[in-house]
Amino acid sequence: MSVILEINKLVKKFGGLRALDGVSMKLYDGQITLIIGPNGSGKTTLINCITGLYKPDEGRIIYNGNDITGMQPHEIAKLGLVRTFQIPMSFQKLTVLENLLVAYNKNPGESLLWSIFKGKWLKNEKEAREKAYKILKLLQLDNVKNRLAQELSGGQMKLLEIGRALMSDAKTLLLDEPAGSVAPTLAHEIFAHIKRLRDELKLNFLIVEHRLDIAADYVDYVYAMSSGKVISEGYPNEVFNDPKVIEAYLGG
Amino acid sequence: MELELLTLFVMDTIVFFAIYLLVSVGLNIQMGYTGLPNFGIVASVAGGAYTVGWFVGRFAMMIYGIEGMDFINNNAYVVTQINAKLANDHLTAIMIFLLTMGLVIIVGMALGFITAYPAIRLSGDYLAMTLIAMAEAVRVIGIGFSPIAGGTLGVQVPDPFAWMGKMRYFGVIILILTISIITFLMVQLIINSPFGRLLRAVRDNEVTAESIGKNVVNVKIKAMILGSILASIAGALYSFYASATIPAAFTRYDWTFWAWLMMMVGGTGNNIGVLIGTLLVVLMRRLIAFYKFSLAAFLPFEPLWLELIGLGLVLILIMIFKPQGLLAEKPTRVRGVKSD
Amino acid sequence: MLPPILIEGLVYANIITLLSIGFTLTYLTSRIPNFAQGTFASVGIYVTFTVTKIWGLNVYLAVPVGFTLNALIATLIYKGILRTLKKHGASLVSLMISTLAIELLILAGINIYADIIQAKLWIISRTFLLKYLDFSYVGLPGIFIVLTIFVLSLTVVLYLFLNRTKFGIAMRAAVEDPDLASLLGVNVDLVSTVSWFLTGGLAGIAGCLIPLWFQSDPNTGSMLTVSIFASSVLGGLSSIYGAILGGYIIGLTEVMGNSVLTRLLGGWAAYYRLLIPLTILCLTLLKAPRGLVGLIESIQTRGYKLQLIRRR
Repeated sequence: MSVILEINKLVKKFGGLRALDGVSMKLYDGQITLIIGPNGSGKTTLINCITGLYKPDEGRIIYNGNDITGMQPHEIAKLGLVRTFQIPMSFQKLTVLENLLVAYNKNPGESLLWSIFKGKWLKNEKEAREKAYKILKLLQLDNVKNRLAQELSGGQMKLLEIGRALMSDAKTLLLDEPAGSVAPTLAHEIFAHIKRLRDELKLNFLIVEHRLDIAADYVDYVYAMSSGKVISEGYPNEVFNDPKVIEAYLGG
Repeated sequence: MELELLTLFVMDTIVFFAIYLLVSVGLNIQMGYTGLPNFGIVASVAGGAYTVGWFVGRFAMMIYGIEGMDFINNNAYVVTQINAKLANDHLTAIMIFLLTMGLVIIVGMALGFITAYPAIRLSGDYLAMTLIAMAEAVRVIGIGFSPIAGGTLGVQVPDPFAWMGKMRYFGVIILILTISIITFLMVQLIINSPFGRLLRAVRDNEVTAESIGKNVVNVKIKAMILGSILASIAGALYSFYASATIPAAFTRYDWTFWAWLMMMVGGTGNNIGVLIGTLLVVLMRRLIAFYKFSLAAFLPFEPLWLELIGLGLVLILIMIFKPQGLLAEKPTRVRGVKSD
Repeated sequence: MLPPILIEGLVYANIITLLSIGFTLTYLTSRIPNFAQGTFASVGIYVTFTVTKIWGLNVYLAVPVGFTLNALIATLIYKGILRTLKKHGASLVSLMISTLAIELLILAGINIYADIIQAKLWIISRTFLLKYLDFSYVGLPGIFIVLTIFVLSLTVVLYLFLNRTKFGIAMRAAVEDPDLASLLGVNVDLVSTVSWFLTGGLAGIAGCLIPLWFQSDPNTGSMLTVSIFASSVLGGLSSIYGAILGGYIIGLTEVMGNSVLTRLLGGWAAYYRLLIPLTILCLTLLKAPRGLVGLIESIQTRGYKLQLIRRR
């Protein structure tokens, strides 16, 4: 199995606080990797560094052989590394369908100059729609496709987040608490979707999640973080029973 | 009203509608679609007008070999000379007009690019304040630096339509209306496309847009440039219509606040709505202008102040009761694709 | 003796400072930039006009009248319009537009008043200068003495108010974190109302004194708007003291800069006077958006960091 994302001794400081203190990880192609850790352990900071929202102070991030440390978020996204947010951030006044269509990145119609000439982009627009319809069906959102995003329920918004990441031809998706604060049945559904997406579309996932009990059934490898460091890694069973991890959760 | 007065009223309404349509649609692109509160759009309008004031006369002087005179100081004399020549030389006149409009578009792009600088770095109230300040600067420079467009007195502009003779008044208005409508249709082409959708996405959530690979900085720059070009064209057309550029006339009141009203009445994020809003507001304002004189007889003060009160009240009422305007924003109707 | 240009600069700076304090105060408590702040001063201008030219009283009696009238107008505007809008969930842009609309209304009101006075009472009301009504003491104009003493004592009073009184401390809490403050029992709405009251009042005082030095007309107040923005933003829009600092810097720079430029370049340079505060405003917003107070704070934190490093 090849390494798709490599994080080497990443350090990120905020003033005197070391949010990330030498984090190293290896993600393999076709794998669903889970990152767990109590609040403040640095999970979201890690995702923000990987996706370019923050610039790390030390360390390297290598995606698919490219050194993406410190690149702009939209450049990283164009390379196929896309993230979702803990609190779903969709385009509120656009419809669900439009939210997906915007995520399609190969549309020359989005350039100011070519937008006038329908011929230049009509084909791409139609392709985008086809893809969007497929994803909507996959995520069971097709009955709300013409509703404005701000009218969706919490669970639907989470699915929309994932759908949007899928549209942008992402090969690797970083999901920040995809099942956070939804009912257990819905959480299981969301993870089942993720697993199916990995199986059918051959995507890689790096998931940050609190709900160990639910996530455990769906992931291949786990990293546990605490206070900015990786304190344990391995298969789900190993990590969940690791005394260091239990102590971090109870003590932290 | 008698027929003559009625014709005057209708034509007046048409020309102001055509000119203001460009400003309000330009503003709608920046604010309604992309969420950039440009309280300084008068800068672009003035820019277009200054370009006309600065270029047309001097260029004509060069073509016709009028020497020994200063365009600004001997303005009236020079312009009369030029107009006499233009009246018989419609080819040159049209060429001058087209060349000037090309220059106006470039000036519009430049102003759009300059005003995009704060739009990238700031948002909300800080952005609004910076844009107001920049627009004030444009005004101060235009009024203070007379070589641009005559400073405090302004300049007369040679008339590239002098050859129309008796039909000049109607001809110019029809021309301006045509240019305005064609530009509006082109803007609709641009807006009803994935680009239009992208603008709205950037407005709704910049961070998300970045995270799916959109270059938000570029999008904002393009929106500011496009809006600025439209506003500059409007300012230029106004100068050609009036055959004069008076920098002091391009006030925040006339060209920013009224344009905002037209956009808000019509509906931010909906160009058809803005067109309707512009028509309604221009009509209203023309009515006020025409009846002002009858009112002036009864009132111990200038009727103009009532216009300010009207604008102020309507703005506040719209903010309270119908901030989205008459027509709501609709999903981008991408041409050629059936929406279901 | 003080050079006249310094006196002119200080008078102008004091006025700008009073108006910036108000602008910053309402910005901090209700998060609305009050674009009508300059025009508030215009009301004060015409109060002085009324008190002196129509009622024939001493000009300094206009000050309490101006304070009260303006404070009431500002409070009404806040309670009637702005708070209603906020309750309806208005966006920041909507609130800004409303203050612009309010500026138009006040401007119209003042102009109508001036027009009516001129028409009915035959007094020239559209432009006037009341310098001759001022007193003089040790060679210094009354307005200079009064303003300087007032602004200095205001600074002290504000400091005591914000740090030693219960309501002042509540105000600071409401500015820092309105939700937390209201949970702790602070009446955030009352804080906002009081701040608009004060803002209007201070603008009224500033406006009342303007005609004692400057040629005044209905637009004089609005022309100060850019300078008010500049000084508040330079101050950092984060504290009253920032506004005071910004006000003095902008006021003095504008007057003295204008004087230097006209002397160097000629009389025409006076046309470009507004470019001085405009440039400072743009530079501050683009390069140091947290203003001088922000710069001072970041130097302080760097100082702490240096201390920490040295301790290791």
